[in-house]
Amino acid sequence: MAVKILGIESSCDETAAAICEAQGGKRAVLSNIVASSMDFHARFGGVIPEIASRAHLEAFAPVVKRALSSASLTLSDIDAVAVSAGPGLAGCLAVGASGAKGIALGAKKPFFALNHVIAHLAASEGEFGQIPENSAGLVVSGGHTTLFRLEKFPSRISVAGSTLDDAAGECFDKIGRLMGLPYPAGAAIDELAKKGDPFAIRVPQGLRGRRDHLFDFSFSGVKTSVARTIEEMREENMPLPVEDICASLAESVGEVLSRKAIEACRVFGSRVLVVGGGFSANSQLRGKLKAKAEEAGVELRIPSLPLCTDNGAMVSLLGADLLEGGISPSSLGAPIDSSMSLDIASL
Amino acid sequence: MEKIEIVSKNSGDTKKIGALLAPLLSPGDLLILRGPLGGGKTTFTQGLGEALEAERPIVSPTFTLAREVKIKFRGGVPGLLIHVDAWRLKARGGDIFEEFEALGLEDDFEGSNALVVAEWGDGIAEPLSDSILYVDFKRDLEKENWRSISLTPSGFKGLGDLEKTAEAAFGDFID
Repeated sequence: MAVKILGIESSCDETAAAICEAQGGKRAVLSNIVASSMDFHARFGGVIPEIASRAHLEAFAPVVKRALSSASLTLSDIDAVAVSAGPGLAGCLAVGASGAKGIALGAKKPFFALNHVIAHLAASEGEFGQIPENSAGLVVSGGHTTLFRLEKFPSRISVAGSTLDDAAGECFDKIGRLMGLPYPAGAAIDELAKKGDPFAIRVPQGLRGRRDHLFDFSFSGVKTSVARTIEEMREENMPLPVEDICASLAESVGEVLSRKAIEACRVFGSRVLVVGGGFSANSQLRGKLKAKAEEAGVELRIPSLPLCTDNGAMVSLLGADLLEGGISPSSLGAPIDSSMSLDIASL
Repeated sequence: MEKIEIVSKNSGDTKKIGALLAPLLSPGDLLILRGPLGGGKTTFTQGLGEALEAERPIVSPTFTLAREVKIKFRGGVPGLLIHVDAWRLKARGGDIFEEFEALGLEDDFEGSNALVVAEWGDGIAEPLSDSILYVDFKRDLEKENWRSISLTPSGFKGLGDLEKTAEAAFGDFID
């Protein structure tokens, strides 16, 4: 029997809701609505402090209603309600979680408090179907850079390695700002990098080839090295080769991420590599992953861009895995956990 | 003497300097870390966290703005390290004071044995405490890994007599 899951996401800047339908291993995303704070700045004619959670509060009901109406469904058609309960910004998570609990309680549906980062892996299921046993996973975003061993998704997963300092997306944002690019800088750096020479500037690859940190990352040294290069050029009044800097940065970060992800597949004997998170929208990283996966005979499952950035579909897809997998729903008393452990999919 | 000036020759030194400061800190203290990208702010906090027996490793809190980690002050007194990074607030613009307030740190700070370490927090975090220590990081344009680090107390008593403490605690790192 097919089940339909409402997924709600509010862990950071996006307020999102989506509905997916699951039957056996099959998955279909019926609706996927995202209100980014950008829309709200425009609609309300001013800056709304997102971290004060007000934007989420304003967006919550309209976004959920639109997710239902664009799938031509009502709450009574839904089989379960899932929400990102962590990790993320506490005030933001609280809005989505409270709203989701209210809906689950009112409509008498099972409730799942989920891990936002693990949901990024589930996003791939919207386009590729269920994640097979013994896969490897990579989540890269503004806040996370983590490699996973996925023995049986989502009930048996473990962190193989993580960044020891900055996340990949954070490194891009910070260097972008130093060069005067808009925040967040990922998209701008991606475009500029296409026109630059990826080997123009030497950028270190943190922890590459380190046996003691085989699957860990470090982007703090990358950030420092590029910041230093920029300062030196400014000191000597040289024009900043922004395109070359972007290309060299993207080359270094893309290379170390893809290299370690494929190495993880080799060590785990994984035939499938699942990738998710906002930074996986980066075209240089996608290109490198595709080339290295082909060479290694690994199937790369990296979803299209709307499923990479924060969205509700990934939450509903992970909710579907839990519901179909017979995993007990969360208590309505489950608290949000802004620093939730990455080894568990739900509370 | 208004501040203690220290030289770090590599990131290992920066961690050690953070660790040396740890026993001088008490609940209610606010450390405000200033300096450029790659100055060593997070590295310093990692050393501090290790010396305070942080229950989880310290990583950059930029994305979530604040991370709380259980620690132990000297004498094993249990407490909380609230590691804040206001970079995102500054990068994004808008009313940073209102946004900073909305983090609710004041409540967390008052209700527990907490120490706040605020990266990029200058000009925003000061209202949190009367016991403030500014930690400034400067990169060296000539020597790639060198950093000069200075400690400037503002109502912060933990350093005691600066001259004596400089020699006793940080002597190895002073020219």
